Amino acid sequence: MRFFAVFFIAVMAVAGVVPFAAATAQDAAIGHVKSVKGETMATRNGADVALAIGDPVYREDVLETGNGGALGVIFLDNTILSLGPRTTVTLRDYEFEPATENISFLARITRGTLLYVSGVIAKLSPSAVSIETPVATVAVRGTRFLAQVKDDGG
Amino acid sequence: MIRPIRVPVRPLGTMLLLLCLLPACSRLNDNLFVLLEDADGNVGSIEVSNARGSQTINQTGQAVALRSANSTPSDAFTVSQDDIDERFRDALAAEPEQPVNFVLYFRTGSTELRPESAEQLPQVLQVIANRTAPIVAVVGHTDTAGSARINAALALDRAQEVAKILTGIGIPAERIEITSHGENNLLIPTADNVAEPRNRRVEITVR
Repeated sequence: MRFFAVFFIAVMAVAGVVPFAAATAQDAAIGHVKSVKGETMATRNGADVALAIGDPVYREDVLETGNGGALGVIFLDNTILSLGPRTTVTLRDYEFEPATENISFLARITRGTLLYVSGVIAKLSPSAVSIETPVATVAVRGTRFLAQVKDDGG
Repeated sequence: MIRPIRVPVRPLGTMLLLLCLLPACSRLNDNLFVLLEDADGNVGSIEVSNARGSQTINQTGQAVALRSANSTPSDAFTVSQDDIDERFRDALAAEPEQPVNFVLYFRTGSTELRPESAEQLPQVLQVIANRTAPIVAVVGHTDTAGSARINAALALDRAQEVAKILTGIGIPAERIEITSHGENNLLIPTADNVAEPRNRRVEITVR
């Protein structure tokens, strides 16, 4: 078994498939910013980074919009998150490696408004998707929904 | 002679407070989850759950509300389009354009595109040209005939072949993501070890 695993990785490496090999790395982009309005930023490794169209987003990013801000993100599997104003969303986990059946989408909204549109992860395995809030957790079955979380979070 | 009708003017705050004594209004101001219909018109479902209970909704415009983490998820209720727009206008307006998907097929046992697939390439270029900051995902797939590991590598070969074609017609390589889903993301669901030509494909998704 181990031989095959090593062999497989070696084949991938020789083939020069950097994105495939890098998909498990902490520093690989998991999606991209596709729309921005007003003040938007990501808190990443403790630093605040302003976001612009085309910017990558990463696992564990905390995405935030200011008053009048809005932000649209598409992930590698075509899942969409779009944030309204005064919204905070943490990208807690993201895995999209169907070839090894390693898939997961876990995001947490702690305030504001959010649109979720499912992508391939939800299609392949609905149980791999979870949207958390301070008051409840949302499980999806191939879908599109809105969430509003009050500032005090309840 | 027409007598002017006097309408008592109440402060706006009092009016809103009175309106919000209606159950639907107060729920709309709580933590709220609203199901919408998919872009293709299908309606899925969501299950909202916490330690106190869970509620599933499966109709477009249906909602579940919760005052706090200690509340039981409410019964399903319907939210009007106006209420949706009022509360979620900005989040909805920020929704990125839906990705566009192309499926390309290969001649059996080769990395050469079938002619009808090659004919799609100008359309692919057109879609890429019309997007801001486009990302072109090129994903190789196989059917379930043979071993999963070999299929993962085969699917990757095909994806790389398509990526080569795309860079050849002018798409910058840094815009292209190449991946393999092997036999684990079938277009036509089959059991293991089933030869199915429609599953031997490369999908291009322009985001």
